[in-house]
Amino acid sequence: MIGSFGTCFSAVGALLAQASAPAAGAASSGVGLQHYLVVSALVFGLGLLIIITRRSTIAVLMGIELLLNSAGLNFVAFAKYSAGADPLDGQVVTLFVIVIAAAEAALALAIALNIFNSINSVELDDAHSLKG
Amino acid sequence: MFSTILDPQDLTKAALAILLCPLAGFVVQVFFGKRLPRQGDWLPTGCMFISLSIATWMMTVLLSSPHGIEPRTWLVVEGWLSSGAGGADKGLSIDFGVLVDNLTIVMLFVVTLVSFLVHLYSCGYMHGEERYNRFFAYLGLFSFSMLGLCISSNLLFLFMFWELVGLCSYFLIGFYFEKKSAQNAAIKAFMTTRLGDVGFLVGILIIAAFAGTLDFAGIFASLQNGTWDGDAKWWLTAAGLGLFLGALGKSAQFPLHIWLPDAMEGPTPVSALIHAATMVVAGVYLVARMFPFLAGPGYFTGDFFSGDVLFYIAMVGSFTAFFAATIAFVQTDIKKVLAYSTISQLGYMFLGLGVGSVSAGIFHLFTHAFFKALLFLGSGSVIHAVHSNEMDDMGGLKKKMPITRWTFLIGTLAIAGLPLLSGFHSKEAILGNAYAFADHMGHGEHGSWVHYLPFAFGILTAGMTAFYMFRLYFKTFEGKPKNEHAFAHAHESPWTMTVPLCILAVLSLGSAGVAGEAAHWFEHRVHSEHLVTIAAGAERVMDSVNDTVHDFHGLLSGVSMGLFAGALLLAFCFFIPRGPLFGREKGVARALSPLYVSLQNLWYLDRFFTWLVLHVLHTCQVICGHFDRVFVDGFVNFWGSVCRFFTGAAGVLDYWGVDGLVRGIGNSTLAGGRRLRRLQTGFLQEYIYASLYLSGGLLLLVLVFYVLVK
Repeated sequence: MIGSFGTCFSAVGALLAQASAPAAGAASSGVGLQHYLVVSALVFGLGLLIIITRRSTIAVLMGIELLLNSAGLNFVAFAKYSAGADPLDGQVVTLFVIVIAAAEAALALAIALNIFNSINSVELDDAHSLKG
Repeated sequence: MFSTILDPQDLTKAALAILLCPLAGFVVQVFFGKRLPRQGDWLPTGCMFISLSIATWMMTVLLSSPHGIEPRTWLVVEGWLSSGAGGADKGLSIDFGVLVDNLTIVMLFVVTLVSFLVHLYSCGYMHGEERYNRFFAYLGLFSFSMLGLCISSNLLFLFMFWELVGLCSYFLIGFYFEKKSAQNAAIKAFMTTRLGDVGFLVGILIIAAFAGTLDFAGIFASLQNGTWDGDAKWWLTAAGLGLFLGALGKSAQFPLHIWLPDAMEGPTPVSALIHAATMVVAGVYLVARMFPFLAGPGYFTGDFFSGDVLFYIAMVGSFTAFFAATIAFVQTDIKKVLAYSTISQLGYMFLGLGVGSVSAGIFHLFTHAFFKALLFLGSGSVIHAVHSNEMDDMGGLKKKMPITRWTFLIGTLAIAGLPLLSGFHSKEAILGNAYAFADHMGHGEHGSWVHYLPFAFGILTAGMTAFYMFRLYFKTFEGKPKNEHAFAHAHESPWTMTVPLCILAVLSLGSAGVAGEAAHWFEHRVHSEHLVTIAAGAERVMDSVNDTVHDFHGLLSGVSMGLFAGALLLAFCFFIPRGPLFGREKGVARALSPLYVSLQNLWYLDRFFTWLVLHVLHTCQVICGHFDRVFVDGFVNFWGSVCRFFTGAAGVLDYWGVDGLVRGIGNSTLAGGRRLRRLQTGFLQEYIYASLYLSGGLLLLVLVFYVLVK
C-alpha cells in the first residue's frame, strides 16, 4: 500500500511539473525536460519510500540523501532547459546541495550515535519516548 | 429691700421670698452641712423661721380685711416654655408665675409653721443620728417643693413641684435605708403616688389640648367661653377624674392609700411633716384650686353638681374615711393608728370639697394640720422615751411625761371633736355641708339615697374616730405600764421637742377659740367664689345651701356631741383599768373574729395588690413571651427560611451553571487533548507518513482547484 501510494504521488508530481514547466524544448523526440523530471520524481519517491519504510536509522539517512539528490537533479534539468538561464547556475546550486547534504549527514550521524548511546539500538521504532 | 418685698398691696414678691429661703438653706446645707457647727441644723431651721415670719405677716394682712385680699398673679418668667407654630392661639405657653390669693396664704402659713416646728423638733429627736446634716437638707428641699406647689400659677409647675415633693418623700421615708422595710416602704410610696400621677398627667394633657393653656385663670376662662360644651363634656369629666386620680394617689385615698401606713418607717418628724400636715394635703389643695374646673360649667350658675366629678370625690373621700377608721381600731403600733387616722381625716377633707364647700374642706385641712402634727410629734416623744412603737410597751406614761401627756390629750380631744375645740368646728362645717348637699340633691331631679351616703359615712366615722383615738390615748398614757423595763427608762423630752408640742397645742385650742368666728372667718375668705367669681344667678343656689347648713347646725352639733360622749364612754369602759369592760376587748375581738381578722389584714388590700402585680402581671408576661416566641420569631424565621431557599437555588445555579461551564471548558480541553495525544505515537516514521498524507491531500486540492479554474 505504501509503495503504490508513493508511485501515485510521484506520477502526480510529474504531471504537474509537465503542466507548469515553461515550454520545454524538444518535447517528443530525444531527451526532454520531462524525462529528467520523471527521473527526479522517481528518485524522490524512492527516497520517501525508504524514509517511511526502513527501520534502521542509517537507511533513513540514505533515503534523505536520495531526496536531496533528486532535488539537485531537478535544479540541473531546469537550468538546462530554461530559455534565459545559464546551465551552469543549476550545477553550482547542485554542488551546494551536495555539500549541505554531506554536512547534514555528518550531523545526523552524530545525533544517531548519541541516540544509540542512550537506547542501545539503531532502530527508529525503539526511539518512541516522545510518545504523547 | 424689705419694703419692696413686704408690700401689702402685692404679696407675690413676699411669696417668692418665702419660697427661696428654704431653697437657700438646702443648697448651703447640702454642700457645707457637715462642716458647719452642730452639723448645720440651725441653718434650715433659721431659714424656715424667716419664711414663717413672712407667712405670718401675710396672714395678718389677710386677717385685716373682711374678705381677704384680691388674687394676684406675678409672672416671674413669662414664656418660660412656649411652643406653637401656628400662632398664639394654637400654641401652648407656660410661664413661671406666682399666684397669691386667700387660699395660698392659708396654705403658706400652715406649711411654714408646721415645717418650722418640725425642724425645731428634729434638732432634739434626730440628735446623734447618722446623716444628721442630710436630714435637714432633705427637710429644706421638701419645704421648698411644698411651698412652690402652693404658689404656682399654672398646672405644669404645680405638677413639677408635686413630683419633687414625692421625691423628697422617697428620700425621707427611706432615710434609714439600712432597713429593708424602709427601702421597700419608700419605693412603695413613690410607685403608688406615681400611679396616681399618670391620671394627673392625662388630666393635664386633656386640659392643655382643649383649653390651650395651663394657667388657672385661663382654664377657668375656658369654662365660661364654651370650650367644654357638647361632646367635650365627656372630656371635661375625664380630665377632672384624671386630676382627682393624682390627688387620690398623693393624698392616700382608697385604693391607693396603701403607701401611707408603710411610710411610717421614716423618722417621726417626717411623718409629722409630710404625712400629716403637708405633702398629703397637696391633693386636697389641688382639688380646692381646681374646684371651679371640677364643678364644671355649672359652677357659674351655682349648680355645682351638674357634673359628676365632685360627687365621686365626695364618695371616695367619705368611703375612705370610714374604711381607714375601721382599720385603725385594731392597730397596735402607735404610728400606724395615726397613719390610718390621717387617711380618714383626708377623706373628710375630700368629702368637704366634694359636697361643694371649699371653705369647709380647707378649714379642716388647717385645723387637722395642727392637731395631727401635734399627735405625731407627741407620739415621737413617747417613742423616743420607750424606744418602741408598740402600744404594748407603753401604758401609765402620764406620770413620767406630763407635758407630752397633756399636749397629746389636747390633740386627741381636738381630733375626736370636743365641742369648742378646732376639730369640732371643722368637722361640723363638713358634715353640715354634706347634709345640705344631700338635701339639695334630694329636691333635684335625680335625688336618691346615694346622695346621703357621704353624710352617713361622715357621721359614722366621727364616732369611730373618737373611739379609736381615745383607745390610743388610754393605752399609752393611762393604766399600768405593760413593759416595766421601758417604763423605768422613760423620761420627758428636751425643750426642742416639747416647745413645738406646746405651740401646736395652743394652736389646736386657739384656732377654735376664735372658734365660732373661725368657721365664719374661713367661710368669708376661703371660698370658692374667691377663686373665680360666679354669676349673679348663682347667688340664690348658694344661699339656699347655706341656709340649710345653718338650719341643720343645731341638730348636727347635738348629734356630734352625743357621738363624742358615747365614744368616750365606750373607750373608758374598755381601756381604763377601773372600767367595767377592761381587758374584754380580746373577747369582743374573738366574738367578731371574721371582722377582726379582715381588719388586721387591712381588708386584704395589700395582698390583693401583691397578687395583682405578681400573678396577673406574671401571667401577662408569660403570654406575651409566648406570643413573642411563636408568632414574632416564627414570622422572622419563616422569612429566613425563604431566604435560605433562594440562596440554595442560587447556589445550585452557581455550582452547576457557572462553575460547570468553567469546569466543562477544562474537561473538554483535557478530553480533546487525550484524543489528540494519540496522534503522537513517538514513531518518527509515522509522523513523516502522516505529513505525506497531509501534503498529498493539499496537492490534490490545489490540482482540483487549478483544473477547475482552468
